[in-house]
Amino acid sequence: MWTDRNDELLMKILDEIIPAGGARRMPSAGVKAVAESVLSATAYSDNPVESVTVVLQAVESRAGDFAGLPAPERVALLKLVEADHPAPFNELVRLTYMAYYSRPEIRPLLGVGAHPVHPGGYEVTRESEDLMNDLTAPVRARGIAYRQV
Amino acid sequence: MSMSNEPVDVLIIGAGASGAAIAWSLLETRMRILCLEQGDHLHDKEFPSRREDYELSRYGAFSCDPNVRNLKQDYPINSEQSCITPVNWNGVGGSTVNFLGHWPRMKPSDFKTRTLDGVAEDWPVDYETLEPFYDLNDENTGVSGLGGNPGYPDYSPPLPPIPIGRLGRTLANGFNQLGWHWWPSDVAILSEDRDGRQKCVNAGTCDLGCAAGAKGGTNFTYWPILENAGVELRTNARVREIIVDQETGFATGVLYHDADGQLHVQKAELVIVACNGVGTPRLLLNSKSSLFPEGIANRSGLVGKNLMFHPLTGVAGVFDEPMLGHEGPMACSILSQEFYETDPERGFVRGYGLHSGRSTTPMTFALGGYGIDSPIPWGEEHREIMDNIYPYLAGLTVVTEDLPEECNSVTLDPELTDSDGIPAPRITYRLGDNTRKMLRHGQEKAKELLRAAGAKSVIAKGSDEVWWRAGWHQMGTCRMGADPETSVVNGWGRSHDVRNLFIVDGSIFVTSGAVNPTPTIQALALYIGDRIKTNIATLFD
Repeated sequence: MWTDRNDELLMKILDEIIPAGGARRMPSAGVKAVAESVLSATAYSDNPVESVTVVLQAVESRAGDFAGLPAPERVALLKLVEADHPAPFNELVRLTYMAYYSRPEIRPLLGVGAHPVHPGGYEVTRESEDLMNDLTAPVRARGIAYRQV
Repeated sequence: MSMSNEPVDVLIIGAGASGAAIAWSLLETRMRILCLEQGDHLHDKEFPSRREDYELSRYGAFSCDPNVRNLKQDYPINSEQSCITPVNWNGVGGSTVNFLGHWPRMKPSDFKTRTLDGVAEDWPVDYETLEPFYDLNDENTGVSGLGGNPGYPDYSPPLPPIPIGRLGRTLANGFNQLGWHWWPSDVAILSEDRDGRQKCVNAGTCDLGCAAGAKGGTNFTYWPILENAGVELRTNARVREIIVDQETGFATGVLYHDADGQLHVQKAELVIVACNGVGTPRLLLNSKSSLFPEGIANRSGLVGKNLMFHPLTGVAGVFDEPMLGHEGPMACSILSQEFYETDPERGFVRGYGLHSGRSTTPMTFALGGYGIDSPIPWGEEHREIMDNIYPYLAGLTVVTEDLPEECNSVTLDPELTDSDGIPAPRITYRLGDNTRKMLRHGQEKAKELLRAAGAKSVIAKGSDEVWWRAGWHQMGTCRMGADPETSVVNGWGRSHDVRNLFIVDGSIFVTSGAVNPTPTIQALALYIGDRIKTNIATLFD
């Protein structure tokens, strides 16, 4: 049975997998929408709930109050869980990345458009003929560059 | 229960790059042409790039890996004995639906490796013979590029080049500083509107199918013309085996399954196989009879042998300004062939290309990159990599020639089958020593280039690590040749053993070159079509 407590613990773990901050002021992955996407990712994982449950149980068996630990201890504990349960932990990491970066509001923070890439795409100006001539001039000047047979 | 369909003159198996090209070539004969395709058309609304979460589809229904997609039209591939797994698309357009559109031709030396370098075999055709068919196919496809490349005998693509972008210009300056060859990539991507197709909008998701039709998949180039001209394209039709008259030794047609799994007989005068380097040997090996107990057209024993891929590895540089690598066709900016031809001082024969693809979108980068299952670290290191490395990356891909070895093969898996119960292919493949040397050399040269271009740091994986999902280019498994003992088809694609059976795809390559094979596959298909027309009166003699 999945509980609210599971939800809370999962989001605390997601906070550590992709933490907030940095120069780009990125949000952490520990939000309800990411957690829900991870748990429902059956199109991309055989059994996401099972993988997440293994990780949650391993965390709880090592620390009754994961959220109450100082940040360095939370990370250290997760590294132990990763070492003990590599397959489910790696699956959780993979699904977290998928859920987090599939949110269109995240992409612009990294310089990528939020929009679907069709039909708009990106405006990229073609280099002028003069620029291409200048750039390729040294290559042309060296002459034939293939083996003549 | 078997049902019978009206006989046709020409039956083509597979609606991808080569099946479409040869159908186009044979149009003028006015023969009745039927193409059987195991997949379906991809409709406009199905392109993931029209959705906000478009990146997700790379890991599900639009993965390049059929073992991940696992769609009804896909067949599983057992790659447990291989360091590279084949990737593809099954549907109208074949793998040109999700290929990346990089379009370099093979070079004259690629066709003569035995004579020039003492390795592999010479092809029974040469560059000069194929050149007009390269040109014709470039016109039909709408190829963009810059004429005058000193790396080739002179030719000019029909359309001007696509933008090489900040990333391409940065790397080009590095190549110029070192005095190495480079050139804007030839691409099967429109730089201008053409024939009702929209020019490239720089979406950067070529692998998810091009919703604009800018990329020259045969679903946008050849097939609309062919269907308008009366070629019948029967989709959701999976060929089970080619049937043969046990007395005459001629192919009489095929058995195929429809969408409901029903088995049909389709008779034909001429059978053309266009399923590429894994699908074609799989079909031939599955076509057993008393006349061909080891599979049709396999008296040489070479069907499925000599499998070649293009092993790849990547090196990336971190620059001071954002490289905007997500803007523009993902595999195509510039190409260096400085190390393409044999130089004995390098310690290996043949060579490789340095391909400047662009970078990718955040999710794919975080998961390890395109074609790689190796997510970047989690935690604070994740934050650091995504914030301060990802936007500033420009990379080079080392694409090596792969020499043919009989031990690299496609066979039939004894247990695994597709949804119609047809035995699946099993891949046995390892890297050769020559390839490993090339990969190591290429990594070092790529690092040198990136530093010359101004990278403040360089990131590379181990020299023996190749991309797992690098099996786009599947070649050599039914190779051409004059001698029936050492080849499967003759110099114009006709089976040595079955005189009305032709093969026109990448399986007939004798060597792989170190370039993307689709332009050569289609040039060969057009050439074979031309030979069929020329020899029509004595075609089966």
